[in-house]
Amino acid sequence: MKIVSEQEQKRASYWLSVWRRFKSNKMAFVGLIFIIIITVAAIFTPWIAPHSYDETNYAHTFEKPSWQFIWGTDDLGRDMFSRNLYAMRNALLIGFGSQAIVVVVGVIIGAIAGFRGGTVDSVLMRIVDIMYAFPTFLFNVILVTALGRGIPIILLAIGITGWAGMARLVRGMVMSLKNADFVEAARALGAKEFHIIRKYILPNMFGPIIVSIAFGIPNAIWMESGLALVGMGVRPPMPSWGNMISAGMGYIMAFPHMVIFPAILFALTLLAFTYVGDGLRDAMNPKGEA
Amino acid sequence: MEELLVVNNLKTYFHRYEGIVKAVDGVSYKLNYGETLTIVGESGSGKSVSVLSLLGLIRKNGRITEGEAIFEGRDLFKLNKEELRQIRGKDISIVFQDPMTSLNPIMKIGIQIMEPLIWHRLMSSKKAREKAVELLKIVGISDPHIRAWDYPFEFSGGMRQRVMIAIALACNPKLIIADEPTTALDVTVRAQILNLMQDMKEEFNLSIILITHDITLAMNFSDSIMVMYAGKVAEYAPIAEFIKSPLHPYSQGLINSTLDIEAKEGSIKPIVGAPPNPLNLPPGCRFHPRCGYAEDICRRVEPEYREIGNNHYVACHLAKGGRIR
Repeated sequence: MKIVSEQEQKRASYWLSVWRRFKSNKMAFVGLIFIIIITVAAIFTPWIAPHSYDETNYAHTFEKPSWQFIWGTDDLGRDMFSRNLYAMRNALLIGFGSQAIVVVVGVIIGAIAGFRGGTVDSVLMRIVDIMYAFPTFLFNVILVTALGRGIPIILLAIGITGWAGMARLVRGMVMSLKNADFVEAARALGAKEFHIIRKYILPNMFGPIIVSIAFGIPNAIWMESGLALVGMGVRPPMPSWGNMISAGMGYIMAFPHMVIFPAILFALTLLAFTYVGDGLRDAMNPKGEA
Repeated sequence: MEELLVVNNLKTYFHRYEGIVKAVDGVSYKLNYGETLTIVGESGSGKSVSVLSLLGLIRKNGRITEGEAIFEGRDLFKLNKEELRQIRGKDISIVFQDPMTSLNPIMKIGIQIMEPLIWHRLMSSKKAREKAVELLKIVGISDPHIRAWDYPFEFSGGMRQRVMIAIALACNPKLIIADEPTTALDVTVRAQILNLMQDMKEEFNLSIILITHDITLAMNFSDSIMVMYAGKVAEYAPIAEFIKSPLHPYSQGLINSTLDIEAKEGSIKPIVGAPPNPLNLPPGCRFHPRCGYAEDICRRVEPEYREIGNNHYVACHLAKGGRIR
């Protein structure tokens, strides 16, 4: 009998077919490329940026885009291009970081509630309900006021106010998966419980969790900008798109470049994540043929 | 012939908020090596539970309150969880109703066949891989060495059921429980799957418990038949005996409500009414509200389950000497 080669085994793997469907969605694909580019740029910002984010130059305040300052300068003569790069870095840091917290907390709480059920489930889900019912923005303002305005604090605040949705998602999936026919079938074949959780339940939750993260990142970035607009975001001089836009609003008629560049970059980033989320959601559902 | 499985007076009750559901209420049956037993009944009659109870595969609120199940000399109800787990998939395996949902959607077919081999037969993954391909070939999947590494969504319903059978066969079990294996399949595929099971039975000397609500299937396929109604056995007989003289009015009703291709208009007589609410069973014989022969005694006294002829058991007051009344 012919033994199967490694290549044949890889044929039509699940993730490969997801990737194929994802690629055929042009907006999602462009969005992904954009995200990769800005992520690389964010990682290497200190080396790419021509100036530091807080390097003032009073000889060059309010300058329009030129060869020296390609995106112009602001009211303190700081290089807008560099500040935008740092703002992007902070936005991605907040986006990915807060979602990491959301995933860890949400998956643990949701999985415990789903697997244990009964009283444990009721108690945990009431906590989730309270988190859900509490106005997130207000909660964030309170946390940031109490704990400070550093990037780690803001990231933490957005994370701990945002895990409720993930917990609900995971709980729902665990509850339906633990009684799914194929889990029963595995049990009937003599699978150990731990194996069932590891190979049958967790991998089947992967897709929706990734999609949820993809939508959670722009939400977190959005949240930080909202906080910045009311003066509760990242503490200046550290730039964020929120505080740059809110500072630039005062000069929008005379020096629109102070608002336009961060606003466009901000919008493109949010759009890219949303399109990637959409693309992933469609690609991970094998029945919804592209 | 030697007995593989003897179930005595099995009672499985479900404790629900509204009360206790006696899903299986005193069921006994036995199965010899190499034989097929068919359990027929309506939905909710307890036919699945009466078999899945053996392997501890009932929901958390279910309790086996009484009975014994001797499988090869061991009482399955006295085994601990780990011992029972080692029997599942190795000595007794199950083919489930819906092949579309019974395979892990993100695991390759071949891996799913390999798993029980690795768990129970402690095979190396290389040997298990060869065996998986071989099994797929046996159940009639073409190009098995390629198809083994496809995902379930790339298979049709009939092919998936073949895969389920391959998985069930993997460890050379002694008993296969087929829980409505053809219900979710196209009519054209049904016969193929049944033929496959028949072939496998002969090739591997399997015993089969077939759970179905299709009585014609039972007649073509099995050695003996057990008719269940509302958690109790209505009738239990060798298949030839059953075809010749079904004694319980419910069995007769099931046969009369079967469609066959030459049926003339009016020849189908459905059983009137619906199965009783399991929380509120009628007194006396559980079937009496729907029974055309019901007499006074049926409304008051629960009929005894008794042997009426050669291995032919029935629970009906009115069945005497091989016929009703």
